[in-house]
Amino acid sequence: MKSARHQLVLLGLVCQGLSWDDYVAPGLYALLWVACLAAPAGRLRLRPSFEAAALPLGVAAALVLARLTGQSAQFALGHGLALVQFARLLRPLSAREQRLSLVIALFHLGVACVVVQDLRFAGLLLAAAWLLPRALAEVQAEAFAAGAGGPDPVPAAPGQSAWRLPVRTQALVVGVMVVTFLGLPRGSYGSPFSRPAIRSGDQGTRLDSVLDPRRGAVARSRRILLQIQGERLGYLRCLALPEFDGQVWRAERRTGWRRIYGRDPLAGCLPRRVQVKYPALLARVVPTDGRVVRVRGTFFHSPVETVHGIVRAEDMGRRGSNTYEYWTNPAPGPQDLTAAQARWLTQHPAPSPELTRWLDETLGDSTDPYAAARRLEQHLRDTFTYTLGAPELSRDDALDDFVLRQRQGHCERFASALALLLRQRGVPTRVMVGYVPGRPNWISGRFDVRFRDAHAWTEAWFPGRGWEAFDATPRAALESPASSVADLWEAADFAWFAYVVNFDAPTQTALATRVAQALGSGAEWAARHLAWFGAAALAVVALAWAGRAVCRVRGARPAPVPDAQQRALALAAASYGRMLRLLAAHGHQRAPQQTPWEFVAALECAPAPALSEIRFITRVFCETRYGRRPLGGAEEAELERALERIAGTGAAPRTPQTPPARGLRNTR
Amino acid sequence: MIRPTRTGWGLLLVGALLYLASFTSQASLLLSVMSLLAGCLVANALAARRSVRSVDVRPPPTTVLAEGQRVSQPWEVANHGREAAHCLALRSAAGSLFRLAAVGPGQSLLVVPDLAFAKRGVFRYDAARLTCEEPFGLVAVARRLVVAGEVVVCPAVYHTEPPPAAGYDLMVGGRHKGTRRTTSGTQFAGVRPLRPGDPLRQVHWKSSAKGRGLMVKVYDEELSGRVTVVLDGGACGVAATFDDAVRCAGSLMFAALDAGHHVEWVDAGQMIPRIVPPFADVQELLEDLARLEMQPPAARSATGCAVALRRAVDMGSSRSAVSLVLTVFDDATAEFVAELQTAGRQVAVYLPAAAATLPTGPGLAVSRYSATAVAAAGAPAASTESG
Repeated sequence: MKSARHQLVLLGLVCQGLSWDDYVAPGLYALLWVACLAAPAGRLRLRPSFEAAALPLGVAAALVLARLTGQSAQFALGHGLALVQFARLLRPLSAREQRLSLVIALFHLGVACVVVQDLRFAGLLLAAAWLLPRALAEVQAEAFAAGAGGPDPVPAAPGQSAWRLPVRTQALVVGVMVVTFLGLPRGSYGSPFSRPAIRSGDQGTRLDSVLDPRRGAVARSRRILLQIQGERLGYLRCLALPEFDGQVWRAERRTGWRRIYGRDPLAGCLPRRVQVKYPALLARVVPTDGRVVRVRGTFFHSPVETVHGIVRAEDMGRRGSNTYEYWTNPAPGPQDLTAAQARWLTQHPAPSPELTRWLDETLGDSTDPYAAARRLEQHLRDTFTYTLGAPELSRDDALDDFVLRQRQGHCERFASALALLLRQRGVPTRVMVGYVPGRPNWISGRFDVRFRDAHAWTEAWFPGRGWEAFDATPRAALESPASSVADLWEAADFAWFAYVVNFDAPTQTALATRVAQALGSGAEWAARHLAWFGAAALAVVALAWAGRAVCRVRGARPAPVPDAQQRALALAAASYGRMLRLLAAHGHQRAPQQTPWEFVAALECAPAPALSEIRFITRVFCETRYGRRPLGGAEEAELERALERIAGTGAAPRTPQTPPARGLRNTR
Repeated sequence: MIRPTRTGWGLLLVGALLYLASFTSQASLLLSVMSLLAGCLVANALAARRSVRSVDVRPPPTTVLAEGQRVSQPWEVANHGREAAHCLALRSAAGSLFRLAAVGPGQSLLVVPDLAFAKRGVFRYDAARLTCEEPFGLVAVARRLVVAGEVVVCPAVYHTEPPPAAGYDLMVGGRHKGTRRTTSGTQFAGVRPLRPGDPLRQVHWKSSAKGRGLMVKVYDEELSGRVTVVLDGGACGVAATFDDAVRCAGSLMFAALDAGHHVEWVDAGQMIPRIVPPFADVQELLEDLARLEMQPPAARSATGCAVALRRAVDMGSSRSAVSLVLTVFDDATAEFVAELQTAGRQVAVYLPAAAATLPTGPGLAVSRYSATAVAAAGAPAASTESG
């Protein structure tokens, strides 16, 4: 950790390492950095030819390794530059080379912008904001001291403390950085360098896998997928499974859709505003709840609503803001269902006698299909158990196995079982998969929707009522676990994504509009209370004027604090004056035409024990008075001691009657 | 004045690249790095501006130097601000006068500039710039000094042979001895009988007392020649050659003055004649040479140069010898020189060492000058110490 420049180089190397993987490459680069700096100076100096070859060598090595390990090779140039950085850590650099190393570190930071978009980048950015100004100042100070571009600089005065970058400057850098970031015009047109949100083989991000954590999505289940703002939020639909072939539920076919895109909000509808962290994970589905009447967003194209109420888009995730809005009808009328649809949505395998008996016993004498459905939902919720990783169900009679024997499982089983049981009673049903909004986020006030909030439920159609949602999964399963540090981290990570990573032109415009509105309302408020403002300003001015007048009258204006030089001058002059008075008391009067050193020369004609003290005081006086030299603490004490010694030696030297010639000597 | 340094331009380029790259990226993170660079640039500009404004530089009164000399008087640098100023540099057209690592708040320093003024000229204090690149070296903020005064750098004249002189006139104290006797002077030559019109003050009473009538004192005739030195105003357009020519002209004039001649000096660019008697104070002449500026490019045509030379020569005495210090020698000039010779004027031509020579008439003395010496044509220019 030799200097800020070295630390910034390390930061850049870690950033470059992150383009390879999360731990091994950054760690390896950090170790190499330590090794290069710890290497004995001069022993490992590489030839300039090696430095020149380092870049192509590093690029070639990165390309070969990428091919061997199957990693992306798009940042091979950065690895070549990293090798250049290592080679240059082994020797002292010129100012130009030092600045170049800073530029390379910035390039590596730029690589991190593409590969590390989560909250870790905030840490990297903070470190860069701390290190870059210091490194630049360090390089500049070194270059200036080395005399680049002119004569050798006059060094700082002895009393001047060593220079450090003021915290105020650092704060100014960060302030301008924030303002520039917020105010800079921006655009997004897609890039070949954009990292795909879903990598090949990454199974942990799919919706069906997060429903059952046994399938490997546990690690990511805390992550926030989106935040939603709105009233009376229902379940967010992502996938409709209306078709059951006896073994598995299948997604709806694209048999019909209606366009619901619009720019203007609709009066009387419930608005929802959603921010999405990973648009690509939505797989072209726009999660919505309720009966959607209009959708507005910029990161997808042509949203349509399918027959089963799923909002899908043609394209998603490569442009614009990750925010969308939609409006739902708070009192939708009953939807019609054709006979063919009703027949299709009631298809089910033939139930076993045991299951029929169980169903009859459970529903009892209930004749209203809706009441029966609610009763069945409640029964499943109350008497069954929610379990993750329950044993597989029997392939032949999965429903019997679940209802009659296991009576436990996760949400998919409950939703599927309820749908099939209702179909046995002739109620058209479908299984819906989506998300349950969690608790409101403590930062934004919006509802967090995490991967672990993925859920499956049942929707059933009743004449005169339309589609109604039924959730047979036991309640405890839907309750979010208590907040933890990880939740906090995820909330911060989402905020980072929402407000920094995805801070795009529309968000910028919205922010500017809000600021303008706030300023306008503030101005309006101020104009409304103009009389009060004027009175307050007048009072402040009057008070200031009065205070100043009082100070003038009393002469009590605070005198400017003398700085070190003025103080030194005053002290030296006072000491010299005291010395002259002491000497005058002993008959050694300084003639008006005598310079201080002429006076000393005159005193030297009469040898005396206090001459060295007189010389010392005279020297300090002349250097301070004419050379503007500040005084050290030791010198101040020595002055006092010298005066005491002169006062103590009553036998001060006698000045000869005839003054010597002027300018005899100057001991300086 | 605020301008980015080379490093600043480099980082601006990096920032621009990041900005362009951000247009192709979904994330705004590249803009955050660019914003960091912008923050460094702005902080640099503000800090440097504060430092430059809080520091006052008080130079000594007008200083007169010769080429190659350094300023010996200290300059006072005072920081009136509440914070220390760092990385300050004071630059003039002649180069960097001094650089200061730090000046504490309320502190004032006496600094002797470490700059040898290599070329003649006048360097005004209010043209000097106090520059600060504190703290990052990305932006340089400069401010002109608001003080009167200047550093006058005179050309470094060197010892050389005096130019040919003509039009000798009587002058008491003249270094050239004539063939006749006069009744005034400093070199006593003898006595002769009084003639009508002789002043009685010159009667040599001691000889007159010997009975041969009134005798008056006679002296050797003391003469002073006239030299017109004409500079072609830098017709070649090369500043270095013009400086050499100015140095040559100065050296010739000093040699002529040392030889006891009157010097008439005209620069064809400025057309302001100046007559310098042999024993005059030459400081004014040196300052004139220091302030001399090269002829503007519009007046540098060959014909224009010859016309200007003719006008300059006409401004001098018609009996003086003409020394033409030229930076370029072309046909028109050669023709003009031939005319002068035909008119009976004694002419000497001084050309740059590297200038081409045209065929000249008989009796024309052509010499070559370099930066430090003048030599007759054909002889190598001996290097002499500047004086």
